[in-house]
Amino acid sequence: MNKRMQSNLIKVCITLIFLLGMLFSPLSVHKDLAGTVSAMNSISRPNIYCSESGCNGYYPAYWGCDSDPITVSSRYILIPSNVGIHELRYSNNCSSFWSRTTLTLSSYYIGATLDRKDLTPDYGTSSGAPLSAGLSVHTLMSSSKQSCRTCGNASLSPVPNPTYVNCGVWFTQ
Amino acid sequence: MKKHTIRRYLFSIALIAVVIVGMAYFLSIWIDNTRAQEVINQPVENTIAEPQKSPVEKETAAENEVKYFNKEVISAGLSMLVQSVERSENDAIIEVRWQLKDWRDWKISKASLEIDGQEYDYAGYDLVEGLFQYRDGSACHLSMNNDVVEKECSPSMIEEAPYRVDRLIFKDVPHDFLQKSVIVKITEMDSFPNESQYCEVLDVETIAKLMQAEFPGIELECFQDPGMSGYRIKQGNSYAEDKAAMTKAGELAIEALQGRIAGIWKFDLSD
Repeated sequence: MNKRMQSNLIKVCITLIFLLGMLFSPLSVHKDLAGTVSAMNSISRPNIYCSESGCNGYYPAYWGCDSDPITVSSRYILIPSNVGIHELRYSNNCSSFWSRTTLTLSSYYIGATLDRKDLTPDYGTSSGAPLSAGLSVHTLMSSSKQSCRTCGNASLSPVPNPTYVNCGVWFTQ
Repeated sequence: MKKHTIRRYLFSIALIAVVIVGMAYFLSIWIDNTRAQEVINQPVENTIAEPQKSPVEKETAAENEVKYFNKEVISAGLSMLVQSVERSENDAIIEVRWQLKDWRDWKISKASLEIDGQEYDYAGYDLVEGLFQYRDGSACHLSMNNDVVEKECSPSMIEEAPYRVDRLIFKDVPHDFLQKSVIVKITEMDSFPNESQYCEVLDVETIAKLMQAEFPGIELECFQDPGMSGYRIKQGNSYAEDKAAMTKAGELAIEALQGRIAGIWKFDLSD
């Protein structure tokens, strides 16, 4: 094999490796086809998803994980009438969970907790003031490969953050 | 000579790229077909079963007692099927399979359990399984196996009717409720917007217009902050601290945010 042929072979190999890398890169696998550009551009980073533990500690909108989530578990907040709901949200694209609490009756403080069974810290969010009906708070995301559950509360006084009342069941992917 | 070499090099790259893309395409089709075949082979029912009038089976464990049903009711064009009723400690768990209207995250939002004429609170639900279709045209079947989410996605699932099976929870029921008159009534499904679609769905300008007669000059603004989505009366507006205005805005906001399907899916589960 002469030097020219060797050189060409090396170039072809480099090109092949580069193209394979492009094709099977984790970033190219998770392209968002719908073009669901988030309205909250300041905190979102649409089109490319995070995955599993790569999502830990991010808000769902940052990676566009809230484009198509499914609620896998929820509990109504009954004190004693229904004032809100908290939910365990699951993103199929990002393989991650987060918790959301929504108020359906005005003038309550609310809190949401993503209780992570084997990881610390748990992720919690709570309102610093009583809210109006329709407002919602949600937590950071955590990998769905780790067992998580949702907890949440509404109260006429501030809700501790994190809160561990009215919790749902554990889910893992 | 040099120009000729560059051309040959570029041609080689293009040829390799075409071959790789082609191979990847055929590989993905082969993988999808294999997955689709696996899904078909699973005992997953994708059509609503024929309704039957009476319980078919009854099981009793130390703490749990379960009755199996197959009762179907269609209302508002959507089918709902009660599959089982279970006593779990102090709770009644009703397992229902129901059709999803579209890709949105629908939930059963209003339900009641009547035991011997007394109503018990609907406390929430847990997903058992479901076929979900997404806005981007993909579809997945999710099922819980001892609280572990098992996922199977296939392009062929987009042709099937989406549904979910939930375990509805009713709190503090009598321990012997399965021997009593039991009526389950589901009257509403709703869908709350995803976190980043909140302001798009809420449309505060329309809500402010609807409030003008009662609160002239009121202005609302919507916000989507990290960890919180909401709306408020604009700072400096004369109604900024007005509780009546906030309450009214709250009522209208809830109405706007919750996509609703109303109907009556009533099941008499008495023996």
